[in-house]
Amino acid sequence: MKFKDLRLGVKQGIGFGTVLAIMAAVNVYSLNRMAVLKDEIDEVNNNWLPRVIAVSDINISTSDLRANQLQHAFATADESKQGPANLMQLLLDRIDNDMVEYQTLKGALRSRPSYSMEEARLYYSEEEKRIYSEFEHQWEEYQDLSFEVLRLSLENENQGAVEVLNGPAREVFDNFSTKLEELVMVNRIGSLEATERAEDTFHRARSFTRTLVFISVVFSAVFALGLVRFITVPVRQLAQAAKSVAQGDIGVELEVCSADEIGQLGHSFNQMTEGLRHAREKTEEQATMLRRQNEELGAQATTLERQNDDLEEALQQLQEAQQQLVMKEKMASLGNLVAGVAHEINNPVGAIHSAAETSSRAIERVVEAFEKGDDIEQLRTDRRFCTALDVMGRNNAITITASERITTIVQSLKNFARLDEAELQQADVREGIDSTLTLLHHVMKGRVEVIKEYGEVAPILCYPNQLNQVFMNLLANAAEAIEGNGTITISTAQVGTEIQVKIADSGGGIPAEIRERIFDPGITTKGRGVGTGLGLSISYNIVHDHQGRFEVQSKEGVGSEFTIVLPVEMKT
Amino acid sequence: MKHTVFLIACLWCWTGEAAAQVAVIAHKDVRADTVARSQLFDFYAGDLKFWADGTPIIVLDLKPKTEVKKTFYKYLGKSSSRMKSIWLKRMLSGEGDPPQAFKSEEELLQKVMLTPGAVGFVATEKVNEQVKVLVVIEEK
Repeated sequence: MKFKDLRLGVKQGIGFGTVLAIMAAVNVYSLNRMAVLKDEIDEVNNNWLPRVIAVSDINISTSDLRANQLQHAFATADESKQGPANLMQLLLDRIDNDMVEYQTLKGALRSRPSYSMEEARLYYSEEEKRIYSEFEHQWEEYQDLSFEVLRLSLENENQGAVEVLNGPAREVFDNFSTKLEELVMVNRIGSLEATERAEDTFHRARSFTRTLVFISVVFSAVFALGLVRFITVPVRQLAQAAKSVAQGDIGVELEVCSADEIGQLGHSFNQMTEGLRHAREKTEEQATMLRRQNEELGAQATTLERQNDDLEEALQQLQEAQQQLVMKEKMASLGNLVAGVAHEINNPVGAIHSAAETSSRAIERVVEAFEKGDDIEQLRTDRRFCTALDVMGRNNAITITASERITTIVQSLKNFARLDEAELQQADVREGIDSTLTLLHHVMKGRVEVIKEYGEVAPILCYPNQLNQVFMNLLANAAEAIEGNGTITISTAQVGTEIQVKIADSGGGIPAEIRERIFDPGITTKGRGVGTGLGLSISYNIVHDHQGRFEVQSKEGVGSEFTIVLPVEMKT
Repeated sequence: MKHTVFLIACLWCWTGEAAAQVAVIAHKDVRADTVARSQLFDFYAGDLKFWADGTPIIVLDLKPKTEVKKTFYKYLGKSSSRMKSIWLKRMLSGEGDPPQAFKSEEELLQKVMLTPGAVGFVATEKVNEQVKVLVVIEEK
């Protein structure tokens, strides 16, 4: 796995860990160097300097010893030998102690655990070892000579003692004195070297520490830059890209160059923008389509408007036509009515007319008879006179009957029209039906038998003239539907708060193809130019206005049955 | 490891190449069969001057610094130069002369054989029946 593909936490961990490791290494190394430095300084202070001092002391003490030996040798009296003798004893002790001190320091150095053999040799060099053993050897030689000198001196052989002292003893003394000086010199050089070494150690440690610190600083910087490179820069790019997207530029594509969280974020971002692009393309496509459809719609709207105008015009025409038709129907109804009424009235009027003519001739005969001057008895026997009177009486009765008939018709007409009662009022539907039947008498007379099966019905709140128009229409239709002889059965009944008026005929029934549309305007069975086709439509509207309803049953060849259901109390 | 090697090396240097067995010998008439190390030191330092029977103790030394001499002085616990200092001090205080030193072990052996109360040291292989062995110094 490459580094850039690691998770952020791991990256940071590696970075910080490395910095930490370098810093720890710096510290450990510095501490170690400091310890070594301290050891070296301690070595110089605790071992080297005392050793050099010991050697110097030995040098001084041996010189003193020789001086005292000479003094001892030159002294003639025992008393004067005593002083140098005591001093010599002290000096011998001192020399011994210094030598022991030197050996101890040397031994301590050897047993020191923190030094390698090489380091130990630096502090106690082979040269020093050699010089010291030479010194020891010569010192023993000098001691041997000292025995002789002392013996001679003690035996007061002063001359001999001095000769030995100034002869071979002096030579030996010079030799080991030189050795001691050499030792001091060697140690001084060693000491300088040690100082140099310490300084060197210090410098090396310092430069190494500096280097490590520098490296750690550089690494930290690199790591920080890396963090910026791996986190900040992609995040900034992402933020920039997100801003661009927010401002509407969705063509942004991020370069994903790592597999960490940032990389994943970038990948997700790219997927998002791609999704957005896709969505926008789709939206644009749809927008184009919508525009096109909109244009088409606009065109269609124009067409529709035109068509609407046409339709409105047509509607207006239709309404005008309808009004005309309604008027025509009314006129036709009125015409029928008038024709019926005229016919009805014509008969009694004819009867009255002929009765009046007959009466006129009878009156002429009566007048003739009176002009002849016949007496009453003669008149009573006059057959013609009696017949005339008889005719006059009969004609008078006919005139009365006819005029009564006319009165009835006029009354029915009045009833039917109820012109004085255009207001909403309580009325009995049966009266309306009877009036209508009277008016339709001429249509049905001798041909159609009307069977009334009136049940008790409460008066209902209605416009009676309008309902009469409905009855007129239905009954006229029924009569018309009957070819030749037939029956019309009219029944009334009250069911709860509703009344039912049933008009059944034994006519031909309604043809199946128009049965569903009988209430539509313009539907007629009477042939073009005969009916308006509005009768049932108007009736339907009237019943509907009275909050009632029509029920129709019809069977071709058997007859039709129209039922009007009306509420007793119209809801206002 | 380094230190161990160093110590072994030091020890090896200390002991010298040849491991010498040294016998501390006395005149055959000396009654004692053995001496302690401290007694031996006292003999050589001049602090003990007489045997139990009153015979003066005469200690002898070897002049050349041979392995035998080194071994003996090491056993004594003082270097030869320190012993010499002790002897010098004794001379200065008038307590006596340093021991007589011989150039060879043979001369020393001869002297021990001939001198009653004498004490000396030679390599063990040089010991004969006319001297008494007080101590055998095993040097490893």
